[in-house]
Amino acid sequence: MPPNCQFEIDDVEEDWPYRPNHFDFVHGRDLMTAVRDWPRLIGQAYAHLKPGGWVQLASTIPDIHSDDNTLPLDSGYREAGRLYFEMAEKMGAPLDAPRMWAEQMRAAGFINVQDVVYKLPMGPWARSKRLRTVGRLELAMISDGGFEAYMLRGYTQVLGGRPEDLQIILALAKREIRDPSVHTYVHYHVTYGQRPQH
Amino acid sequence: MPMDEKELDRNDLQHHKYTLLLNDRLFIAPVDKEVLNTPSNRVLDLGTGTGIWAIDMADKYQAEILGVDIAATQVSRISINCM
Repeated sequence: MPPNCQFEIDDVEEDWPYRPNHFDFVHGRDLMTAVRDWPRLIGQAYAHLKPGGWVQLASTIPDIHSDDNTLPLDSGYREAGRLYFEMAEKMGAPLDAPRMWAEQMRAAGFINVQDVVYKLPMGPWARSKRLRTVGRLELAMISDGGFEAYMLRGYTQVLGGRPEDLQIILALAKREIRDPSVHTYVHYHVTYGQRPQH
Repeated sequence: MPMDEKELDRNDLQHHKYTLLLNDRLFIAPVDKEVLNTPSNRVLDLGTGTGIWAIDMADKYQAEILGVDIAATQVSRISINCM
């Protein structure tokens, strides 16, 4: 453990227990489903940043794209993604929230606000070696069972669906994401902004 | 999702994936590197999870890095690393 690193247990949705004008950089990654009130979080970041300090938020938005239309129209993967959106929406933490961050940062007073959107491929189909590795990691993570268990809980408890119906959708989805002729990606959405110097 | 060992691995893989996607950068905001290398300065990592981003930042820069999370998953990680 590096000596300049510390951890604290706190809910970032509560009032932050720090002094105002305290941080030089506030970073948050993959807080989806953990944060319901983004304007409040962005406002707290502003208050606790020093003038001139930066905030950066980043999250994957799991709506599935295919530029070469290799995803079948009746895709199980796309349906699973749609269900994930529906679950999150019902839980009060919509998955497309990152698309509002830039506007919310400007409203809070941040300047030099930028959105940068990356394509995050599923599986090793991309041309670049780097993106093939990214795709391989993405595939490994979604295949390890954790996501399936999470979806099953949401599908039955939040959406009131039957487990056997979801199993069919997920079986299709798994086949598609492992199929090398299917080329899909999701967006990794990064937004940053600066508290003005004065 | 439950924070078991599998989830910890997931977090670290996830971190590796995002760092690769950002061309080996830990962030893309144009934060002054001199600011990050000043020991009295501070960085806050929200929802730090296993703390892997915060630890990488602390390895790379001299500023104080504070990771916060609602779950105490970094603690198990720290004890693993320090024993």
